[in-house]
Amino acid sequence: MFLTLLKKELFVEFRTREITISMIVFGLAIILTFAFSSNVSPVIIVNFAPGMFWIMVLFVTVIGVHRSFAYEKEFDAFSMLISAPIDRGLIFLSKWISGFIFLTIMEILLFIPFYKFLMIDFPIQPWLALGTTILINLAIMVVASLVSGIAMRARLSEVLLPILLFPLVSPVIISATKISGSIMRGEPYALWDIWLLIILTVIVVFGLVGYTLFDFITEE
Amino acid sequence: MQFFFHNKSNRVWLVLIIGLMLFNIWNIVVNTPMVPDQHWAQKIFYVHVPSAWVGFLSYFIVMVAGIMYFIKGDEHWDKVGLAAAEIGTLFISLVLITGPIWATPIWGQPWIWEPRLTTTLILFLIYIGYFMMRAFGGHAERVKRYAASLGIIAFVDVPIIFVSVKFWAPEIQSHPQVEMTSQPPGILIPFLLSLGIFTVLYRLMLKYRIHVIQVNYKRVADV
Amino acid sequence: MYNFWGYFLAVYLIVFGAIVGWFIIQFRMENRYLNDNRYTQSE
Repeated sequence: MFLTLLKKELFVEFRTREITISMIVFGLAIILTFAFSSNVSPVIIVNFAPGMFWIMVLFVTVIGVHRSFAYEKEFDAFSMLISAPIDRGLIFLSKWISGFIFLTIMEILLFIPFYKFLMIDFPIQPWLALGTTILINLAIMVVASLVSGIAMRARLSEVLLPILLFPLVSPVIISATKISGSIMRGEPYALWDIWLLIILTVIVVFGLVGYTLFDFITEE
Repeated sequence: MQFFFHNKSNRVWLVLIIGLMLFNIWNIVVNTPMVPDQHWAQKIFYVHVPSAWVGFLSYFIVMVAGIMYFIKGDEHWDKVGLAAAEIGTLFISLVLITGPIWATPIWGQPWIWEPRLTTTLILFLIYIGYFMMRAFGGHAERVKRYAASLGIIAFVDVPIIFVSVKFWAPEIQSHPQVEMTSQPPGILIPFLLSLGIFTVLYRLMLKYRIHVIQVNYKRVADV
Repeated sequence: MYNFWGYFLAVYLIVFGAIVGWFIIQFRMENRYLNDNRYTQSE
């Protein structure tokens, strides 16, 4: 059942491509703004680059999950979805994993522009960077899907979503910035393992809480 | 429905708590020892920390009320959650106001990204979102469920936020009262007393607020 | 260097002022709700 739901998310996205395209264009716009507002100087930027990257990811996430839940509101599709005889926790899981896939696609496409436009060197250990990025994406998306599940069907959802998401996701952003910074400086694993642990905790805790709560949140 | 303080036991509690609180202030001003390098400023500790305790206790109650609301589906738990969230935010705001006031003479600057203070700030921001949800959420029945789940998520997030902020800037670890148990008894006992009195005060405030919310709901329902 | 007494007094006034103020606000709200006859008058 989960695979069917996931397939539905991916299929809708494959048809319209509106989520990935809006995420990528918005991400590019943010990179441009960062470049203009920081007087591109590689020496200075290299210290802020991890933070900038994750700020960009966070903003883009808001756009992504907003779209992902907003198209469900058209024709009241979400009411039909939650009245289907399925475990509603699976809807949450499918939103989470599909959002994670879109976010990862967006990051892969924006990776090169980000580094090249801001004129910084690529990380020394690209595979390590990729692996941690995937974990961080999972963590950001699990919080974002849960919060958008709460905020989306309320009035003023486009305001409530970032207001609720940013404080809740702050541990992930702190950890992500620390991990990326450490990897870019080539520090050994022992120096940043605690941050990976926090990311994993967020994934597990919010995954379980979200799976349990989503049933009650969407109750009609 | 009648006034909260028409009930005799509530009146007794109110008088008792006023008496206890006056005793508490007198005790803090007169009996507690002066810490040499902080002088009077150290005595801020006796209300700052109990306020934080009451705030976090209140947010814990929001979480419990949220869970109970989902299990029982009882309107009453929604009111408990709302009341606890409001009072919790009142005390957390007091912590965020008195913290910088205390920090100014002790650290030399009003704000340091100290883990406990930062966690409190983040929690405060989440609860601003909570009240925005309550106020602008629209559909009343849904908003109750959203608010309950937000209360649960917010409290689940607290330990994670605390740990991450703690390791975020390890050089900033100069909280004035780090080890509670290593305090001399001259400070510890009045502090625990103050903590207890604040908790009793909180219990009365929670009951009162739930009562006022019920009165309001009933008035609206009667129309 | 710092006026410690001033900081102490400010904190205590703010905290207890806020709590007393909260009680006054609640009392007035309760009073208003219970004496609210805007809706029942028309009956």
